[in-house]
Amino acid sequence: MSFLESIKKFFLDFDNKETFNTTQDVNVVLVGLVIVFVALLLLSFIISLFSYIFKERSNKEEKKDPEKESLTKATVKDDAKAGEMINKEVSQDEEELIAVLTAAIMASYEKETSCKLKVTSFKRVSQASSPAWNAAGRRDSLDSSL
Amino acid sequence: MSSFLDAIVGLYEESGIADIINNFSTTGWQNLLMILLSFVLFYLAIKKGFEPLLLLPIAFGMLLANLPLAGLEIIKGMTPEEPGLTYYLYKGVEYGIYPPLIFLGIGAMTDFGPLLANPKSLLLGAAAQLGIFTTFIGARALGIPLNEAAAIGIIGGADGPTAIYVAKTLAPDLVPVIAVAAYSYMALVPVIQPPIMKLLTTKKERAIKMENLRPVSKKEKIIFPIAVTVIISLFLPDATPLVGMLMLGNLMKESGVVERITKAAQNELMNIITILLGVSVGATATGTVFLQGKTILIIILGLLAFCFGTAGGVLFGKLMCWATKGKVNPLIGSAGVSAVPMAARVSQKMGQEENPDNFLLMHAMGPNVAGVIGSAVAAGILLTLCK
Repeated sequence: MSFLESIKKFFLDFDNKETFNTTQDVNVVLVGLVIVFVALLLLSFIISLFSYIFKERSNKEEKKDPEKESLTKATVKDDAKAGEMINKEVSQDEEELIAVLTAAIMASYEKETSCKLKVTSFKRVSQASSPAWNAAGRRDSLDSSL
Repeated sequence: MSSFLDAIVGLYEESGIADIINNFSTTGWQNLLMILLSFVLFYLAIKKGFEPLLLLPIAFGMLLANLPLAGLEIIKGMTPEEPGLTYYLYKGVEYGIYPPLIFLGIGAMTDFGPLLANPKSLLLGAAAQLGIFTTFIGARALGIPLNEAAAIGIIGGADGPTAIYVAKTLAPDLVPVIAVAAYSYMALVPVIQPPIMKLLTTKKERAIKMENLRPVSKKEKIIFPIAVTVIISLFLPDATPLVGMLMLGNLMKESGVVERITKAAQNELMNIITILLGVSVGATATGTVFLQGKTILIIILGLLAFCFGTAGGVLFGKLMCWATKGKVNPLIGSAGVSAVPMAARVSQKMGQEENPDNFLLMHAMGPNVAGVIGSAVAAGILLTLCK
């Protein structure tokens, strides 16, 4: 037995070896890839469909309910640093963000939780223009929590 | 005095040490090597933190099974003539009980929100299954039988429970090797993927920032698991145990009405099954099964499967980048191999290296969770075609 053959025998000691069967094996691959794609494409189509349906419906609901709209527009104030804030309309999605911001400010005050605060407005700062140390700090804390 | 010596000699002859020395040329060296291998796995799990939740019990099962005489009980325990603890525990693998239950827990922990916000990421989850099929065809070209080639290919799905589920049906003998390979590579995702991702993308593509994802309503999140179950099960009944349980777990979580059982699925159930799965798979890895040339071949093929899967995802990401005129960062494609959430973290880190303001994590979570569904579908196909 040649060296190559013995290596082959060592690595390929599978029982009842079968030779490559082009039609059968290529079939498995083609059918496999096609079905994976078709199934997930179909799912993706359905998801985009129902996201469309819900968007339509929620738009209608919002129009029907102007009172609710005005409620969420409530402006809020931060006792401590009210000066630099800019007023802004609050939409449904932003409520969640404001809750997170409030929680973050509260957490950073730690011991002084007795102080009451309201977030009156917030402004998204462009990542590129924020000071380098702030950006580095954010990146650091994100990396450590990943 | 002589009776004392006799006793000592007797004790020695009964010991595992004597067994290793006496049978060194047959099973002794294998036992020793496997014990050393289990030590390596302990090191990787404990010191390096590679998938410790599974690698640790697997390594311990391996250690137990290869301690001579003591191990013999375990191996005996694996045979129907003298059933023992591991024999019964392994039934959970053999009958395909553990992997779907693990999927139940994964479903209860997964947020499909990023996927719902960007349904196109499902396609990336499909593209990353390329590794499964290229490896399958490669294995077939080497003359590996159909069922075993399919079981080896599924390592490329980067999903431990799926790999075990397919392997136990198609090639029961290969379960320990495939499980160890799959979990090791999943842990090595941060090492394996970046070079491939760098090779296939340009600096400019990696720096692409993606738009914020739209918020997803609760209704969508609730309907999603039901829709997936219906569609996938109608398409591919063989994928139902995995996909169905994944989606049941997710529905439990998203519905918000069964908090208690959701918690049980996420924690207690998941943890118990993890222990049982790890130990019983590890206990099958005896020297005679594991120490064969084909183990090395399977581990190499598994690595190729991972690489091709990553490449498939990234290349499809490039295609989407081109089609959307540069709105999609191709790096999120590599997260299409499952390995949640490591693969998504890798995309995030690579993107941030090029552009410090880049936050790809949530965008990458979409293909990442799609990959779980994708590999379960691929598993269903292989189970149907290669039985």
